[in-house]
Amino acid sequence: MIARHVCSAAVRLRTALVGHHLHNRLSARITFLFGLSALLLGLVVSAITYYATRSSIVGQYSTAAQTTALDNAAIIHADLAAKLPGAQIVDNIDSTTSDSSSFLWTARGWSFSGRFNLNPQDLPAGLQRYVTGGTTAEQIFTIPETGLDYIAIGQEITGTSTPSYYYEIFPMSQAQSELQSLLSALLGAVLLTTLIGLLLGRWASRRTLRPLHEVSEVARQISEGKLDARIETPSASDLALLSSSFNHMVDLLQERLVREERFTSDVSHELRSPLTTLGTSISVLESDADEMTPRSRQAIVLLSQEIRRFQRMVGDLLEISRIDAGSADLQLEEVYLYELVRRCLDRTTSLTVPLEVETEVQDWLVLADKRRFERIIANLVENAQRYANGITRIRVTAHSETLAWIAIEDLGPGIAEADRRHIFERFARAATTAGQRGTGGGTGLGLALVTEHIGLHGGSIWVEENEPLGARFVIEIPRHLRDIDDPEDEQ
Amino acid sequence: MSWELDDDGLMSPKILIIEDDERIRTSMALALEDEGYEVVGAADGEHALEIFGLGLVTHPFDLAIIDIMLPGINGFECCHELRRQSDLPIIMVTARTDTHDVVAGLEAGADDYVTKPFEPKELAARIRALLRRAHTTSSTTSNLSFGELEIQLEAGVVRLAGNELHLTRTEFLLLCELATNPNKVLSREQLLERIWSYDYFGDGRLVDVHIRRLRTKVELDPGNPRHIITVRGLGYKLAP
Repeated sequence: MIARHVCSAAVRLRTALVGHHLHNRLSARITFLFGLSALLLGLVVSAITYYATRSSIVGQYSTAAQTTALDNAAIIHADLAAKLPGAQIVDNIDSTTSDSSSFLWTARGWSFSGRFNLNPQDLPAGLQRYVTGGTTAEQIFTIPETGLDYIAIGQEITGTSTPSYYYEIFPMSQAQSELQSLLSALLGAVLLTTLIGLLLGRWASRRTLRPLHEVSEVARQISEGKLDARIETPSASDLALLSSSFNHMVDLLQERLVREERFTSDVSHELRSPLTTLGTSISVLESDADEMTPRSRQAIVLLSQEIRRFQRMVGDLLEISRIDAGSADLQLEEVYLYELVRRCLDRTTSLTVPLEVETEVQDWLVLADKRRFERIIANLVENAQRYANGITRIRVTAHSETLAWIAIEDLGPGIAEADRRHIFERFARAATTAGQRGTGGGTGLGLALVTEHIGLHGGSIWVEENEPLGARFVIEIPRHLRDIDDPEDEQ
Repeated sequence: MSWELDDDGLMSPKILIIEDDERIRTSMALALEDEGYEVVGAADGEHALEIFGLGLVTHPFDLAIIDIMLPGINGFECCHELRRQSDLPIIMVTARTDTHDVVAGLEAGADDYVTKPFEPKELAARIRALLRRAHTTSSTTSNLSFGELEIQLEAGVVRLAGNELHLTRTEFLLLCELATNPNKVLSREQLLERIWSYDYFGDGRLVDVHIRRLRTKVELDPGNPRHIITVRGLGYKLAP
C-alpha cells in the first residue's frame, strides 16, 4: 500500500517539478524577468545619457551662437549708426560670418542674406514676439520640409531712432547628426544589455532550478522503484533544506516499506506452514475416507472444503497485499489471446462453454502472466457458478485496433446497477433485493483480485447487463504488437 | 535399514524430505507414503547431507524435496551441495512464487519447484514426472555431434571439445530434445511438456534457468551462445 503511495507521490512530485508546465514556466519567467530588468535599466541609462549629452551639445551651440550674434549685433549697431542700407549691412555680416544666416528688420523692412534657403517666414513667430517686445531670445526650431534643426537668436538693436531687430540663424545639422549617432549607439547598447540580461536569466534559471531538477530526477527514480535513490546535498546549496527533508521523507517511507514487506513475508511464511500441514494431512484422511463411517466422511468433506477455502483466502490476501506493496512480480509472456482464454477455460471448468472468437482477434498476441490470467478466468467462472448457475458463453472480440474484449456471460439474475461497481471491492458480496445470491463459499476477494490482476496486465474490467438476461463481465486487455524489427535476443 | 518392496516386488522409490517444520515433514511423509514412496525426513541441511551420504552406501535416494527456508545450511546451499554430489532429481519447496526465490532455487540445481501450500496431489504429480523421466532411457542409439559438441544419446554422455561434461538429468534431456530437432524452434511450452510434463501453465522460468545452466556447460562462450539459441517470442533452438 505504502509503496504504491510513495510511487504515485513521487510521480506527482516529479510532474509538479519538471512536468514541463511549472518547470518551463518558472525558467521562462526568470529569464523574462532578467531580460526585462536589463531592458529597463538600459533604457533609463540611455535616456539619461542622451538628454545630458543633448543639453550639453545644445548649450555649446547656443553659447557659440550667442557670442557670434552679439559680436554681429555690435557691428550692425555701428553700421546702422552710419546709416548704411540694410542689404549692405547684411552683406558685411555675411562676409565675416560664414556659418549663419542673418535677418535684419528695420523700419524699411527685411534685409536678409538668404543662406541655407531660409527667409524671414521661417523665423519662429514666438521668437519674434519676444524680440519685438525688447527681449533678447533664442529658440531651437525645425524646418518641417527638410527636418533640419536650427538655432535662432534675435535681439533688438538699441540706440537707433527707429526700432531695428536682428535675427541670426545657425544650422544645427552637425549637432543633429552627432545626437543621431549617439541615439543609435545607445539603442544598440540597450539591445545588447537586454540580450545579455536574457542570457544571464537563462543561466541563472538553470542554476536556480538545478536542485529542483535533481529532486525531480530522484523522485522519478523512486517512482521507478529505486527506493534508495537520494539527493546528494551540496553543503552550501540554498535548497539544502529541501534536499535534506526530501531525503528524510524517503528514508522514513523506505523504512516503513521494508518493515511492511518483511511483515507480509513473515505472515506469509507463518500462515503457509500450518496451511501446508492442514492440506497435506486432510488429503491423507481423504484417501482413507472409504474406511470411515458416513458421519466422519461427511465431516472430512466439510473440513477439506473449508481448508481449501482457507488456503485460497490466505493466498488471495497475500497476493493482494503483494500487489498493494508493489512487489507482485509478473511473469509476462507473449501468448496468443485465443489460446490463453481457451486453456484457462479448459483448466477451470469441466462444462463445455461456447467460446466465440472473432476472426480478427484470432492471431492477436497479448502480454500475460498465464497463471495470474488463469486466476482471473477461474474467479469469474467460479463467481458465475456461485451466483448465476455458471457461465453460458465467452466471447473474445476486437474492441479497437489495440484493445481486445473478453466477455463472460451468464443467464443468472444479473447485477443491479447500483452494485456494479461495488462488487469489485474487497469482501463485497453482490446481493440482490431478494437477499444473498447463491450459497457463498467464496473468499470475498475473488473479484477484487480479478480487478487487481487485470490492472497488472494494463487492462480493466466492468460488468454490464447481458441480453436477454444475466450479467456480462467484460475484460479489456491491450493487444501486444510484436516489434518485428527487433533483433533476435541472444541472452 | 530395511528395503521396502512394493506390490510388484520392486523397490519403492526413496525420497528425502528436508524440511525444518516437523508437522509439515510428517504430514508430507504420510501423504507420500500413501502414494507408495519410501520417505526419509531430515530437519536440517547438515543432517540431510549425512543421511544422503549413508543412503549412497545402502539404498540411494531417488529424489529429494528441499524447503528453501532451513536453519543452518539454507535450502539453496543444501541443494547445491546435493547437486555437487549427485544428479538426483530435486524439488524445491518455496513459500512464495517470487522470481528471486524460484530462480535462485533453480540455479542452485533444483529440477522443479512447488509453492506452499501445495496440494499433495500436485507434489505427487511432480515427483512422478521427475522419476518417470529419470528411468526412461533414450531409444535412439545414434550419436550426434555439432562442431566441438558431441552427444551420445544412449550412453548419456556429452563431450565438449573431447572433455566429458557433467550434466544433470534435466539438462541432458533438455539438450537431447533440442539436439534431436536441430534448427527447429521449440517453444517453452513444448519443452515444459516434454521434459517436465507440465501443461500450458507451466512456469517458463524452469526452461529459461535450465537453458542458462546448460549454456554454461556446453557453450565455449556462454555469454555468446553458438549452439543454444534464443528465438525471441518463440523459444529455443539448437544450431549445429
